[in-house]
Amino acid sequence: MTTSPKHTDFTAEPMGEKPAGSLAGIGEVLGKKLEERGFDKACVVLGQFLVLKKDEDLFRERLKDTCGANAKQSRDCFGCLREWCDVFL
Amino acid sequence: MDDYSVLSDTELAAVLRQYNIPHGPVVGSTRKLYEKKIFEYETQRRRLSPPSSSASCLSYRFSDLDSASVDSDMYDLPKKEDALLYQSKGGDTVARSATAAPPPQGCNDDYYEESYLTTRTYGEPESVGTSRAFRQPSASLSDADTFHHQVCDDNLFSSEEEGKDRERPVYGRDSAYQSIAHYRPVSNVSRSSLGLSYYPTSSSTSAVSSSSSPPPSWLARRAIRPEKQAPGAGLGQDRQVPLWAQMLLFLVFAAFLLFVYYSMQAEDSNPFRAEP
Repeated sequence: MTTSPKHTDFTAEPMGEKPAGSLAGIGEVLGKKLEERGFDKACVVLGQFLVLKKDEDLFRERLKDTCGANAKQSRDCFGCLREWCDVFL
Repeated sequence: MDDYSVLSDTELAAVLRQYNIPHGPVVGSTRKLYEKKIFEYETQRRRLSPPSSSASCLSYRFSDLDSASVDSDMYDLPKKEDALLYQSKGGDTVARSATAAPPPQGCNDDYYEESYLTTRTYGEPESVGTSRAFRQPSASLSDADTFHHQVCDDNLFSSEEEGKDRERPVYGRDSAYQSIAHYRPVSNVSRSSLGLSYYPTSSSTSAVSSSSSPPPSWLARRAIRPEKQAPGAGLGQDRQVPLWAQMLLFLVFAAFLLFVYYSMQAEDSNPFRAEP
């Protein structure tokens, strides 16, 4: 599976205060929707990811419910977060 | 939607655990998700067995296994199918097979024995040199009563087996793939006896007898269904154009080329056929 530049950039360094739109798979539209729901920073999305015990199905479903992400977007986001956790957590 | 909001967080978590739905902590942000999951689960259960009792169902163990396996998308369909499949028959603690028309209680024994036999035969290829896994059917039948309880027992598919002398060590070895594999034969046997067709074809058809040649992956063990053994039907599903049509097309093309070739040859052999 090829990873996008966004994915590579995100997983290259600690996320700090990056916005949620910097996650792979989360573009402008989804980023805005996430902000509306309170997930303004990537770390908040990370928090949700961890609370769901890094479970792929649960997290992707949660993303779909929260911001209407499609399968590819949620898959990219999940992969990005998972890899970030592998490296930094 | 049922009113799950009356349940507290801990109660919700208890329900999730009861249904074997993998879950994390129930907090504000995840609560709605879990409520939705419980609702979906109960809807499925209610849809398939209307007179179902409040006994716990087995189905959601798949999600646990499936999430550990390779591709969740691939399993979405089988997962739902299995979830539909494994519903409790009235009064049973753990269901083995779902049926459109639930068989009378007396027939349950047959299903359990069948499933046990099938799963045992599948268990053999996976066992690493242990002779325990491959049991004679008579042994299983002789120990009918306790085995039924064993088979009925939810722990059949869990990683830890109670008592090695139960001759099911293989189930515990590689829980994710094996458990799914053992679910498949169970469901296949039960469904074949009912004439339902569920799974897409796959290569292994003689899995019951070929205990000596271990299948490459659990996928190979999926099909024991006799009606799926027809290679034409099986291959036909993989090809857009049927095989015979492809061969015919090839022959027509070859014939056309030969015709062109020989017609050209005819011109060469008689160059002076034209006007003088």
